[in-house]
Amino acid sequence: MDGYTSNNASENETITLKSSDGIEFHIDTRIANRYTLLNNWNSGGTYWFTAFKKSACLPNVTGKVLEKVLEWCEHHINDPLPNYDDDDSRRRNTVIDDWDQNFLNRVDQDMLFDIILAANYLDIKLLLDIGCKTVANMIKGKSPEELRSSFNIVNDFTPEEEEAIRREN
Amino acid sequence: MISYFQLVHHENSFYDPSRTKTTPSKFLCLPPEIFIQICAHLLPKELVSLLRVCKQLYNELSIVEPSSTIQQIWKQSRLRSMPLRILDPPKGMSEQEYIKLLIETKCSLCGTKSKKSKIYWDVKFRACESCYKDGTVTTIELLYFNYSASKILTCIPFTNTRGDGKSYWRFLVEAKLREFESLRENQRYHWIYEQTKQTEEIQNE
Repeated sequence: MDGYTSNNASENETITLKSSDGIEFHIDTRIANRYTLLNNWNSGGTYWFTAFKKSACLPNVTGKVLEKVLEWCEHHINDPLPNYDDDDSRRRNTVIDDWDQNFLNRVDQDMLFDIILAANYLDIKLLLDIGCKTVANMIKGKSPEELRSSFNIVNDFTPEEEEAIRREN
Repeated sequence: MISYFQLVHHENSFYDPSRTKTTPSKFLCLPPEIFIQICAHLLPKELVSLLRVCKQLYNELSIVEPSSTIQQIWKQSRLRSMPLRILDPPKGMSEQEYIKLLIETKCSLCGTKSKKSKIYWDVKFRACESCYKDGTVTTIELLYFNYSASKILTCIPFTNTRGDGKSYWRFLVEAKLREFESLRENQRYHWIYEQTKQTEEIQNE
């Protein structure tokens, strides 16, 4: 992250990200610079990025998801860079601001999980954190049966097993 | 020919459109590091609801190796819901069992729920007042009624939770006595030494 300050990229400079289904996104270098993985690619950390003229293919991320992730990045482009020294305290104190809450509430559950996976893959920590917290909030206060229906999970316990687990917990 | 037919049949069933209806839950397909990060926000009772959902979640949340991340998750959730319980669980006890012991009010012996039940750390269970009275003897009672027990007194963990001197659980006394009497003379000294050391460890915890 130290490279951020010394990097005086002009504002118009863009890099190109290509989603797994072939959709190209031209993104501001300032966005790329904020996130470690994108930043590594951009500063030539991996040879193939520079070799392919500042464009990168993301084999794990579809266009629809990438669009959402970049929408989030663009909104947060001017935020102060958070301090990632202490992973644990970061996770515990994650606050979801109104815009983020709104942003994640508007997407369906599949998209939410896709966004979390993409954030994990692209190493966008804050987005990953608020995504995980949103899922945790979906779990809170639900019975096992409600959890099954909301996450589309099949109950594979036999009635006897279920009774045994209910008794032991 | 038969094998060819089977192969085709097999392939057909692979592309069976009805299979796509039961898409696996995205939640269950999350990589472990993300699953753990989600669980880190949950309280013990929410983790319990989660493990009752299906076998996969039950298995993932039941890992008991003390160093595992899952134990860390349970520990964090314990510290968040009961900030005063800062001590780690006693040796040989998982976080899940520990949390259960702390939360429940049910007596482990008779099963009745009672606010007056207490945890007896020497035996690692919870008992209500009447079960405690029935199940334990004081030092004097023990020596009076059961003289042979005096020889192994140091080997039996005791309780003084209720502030009325040391008391011993009957079933522990009996078990230890049986064990002691099954040994040959020459092994007994060593046994007492080992057991005393163990008991001291339990007591110190």
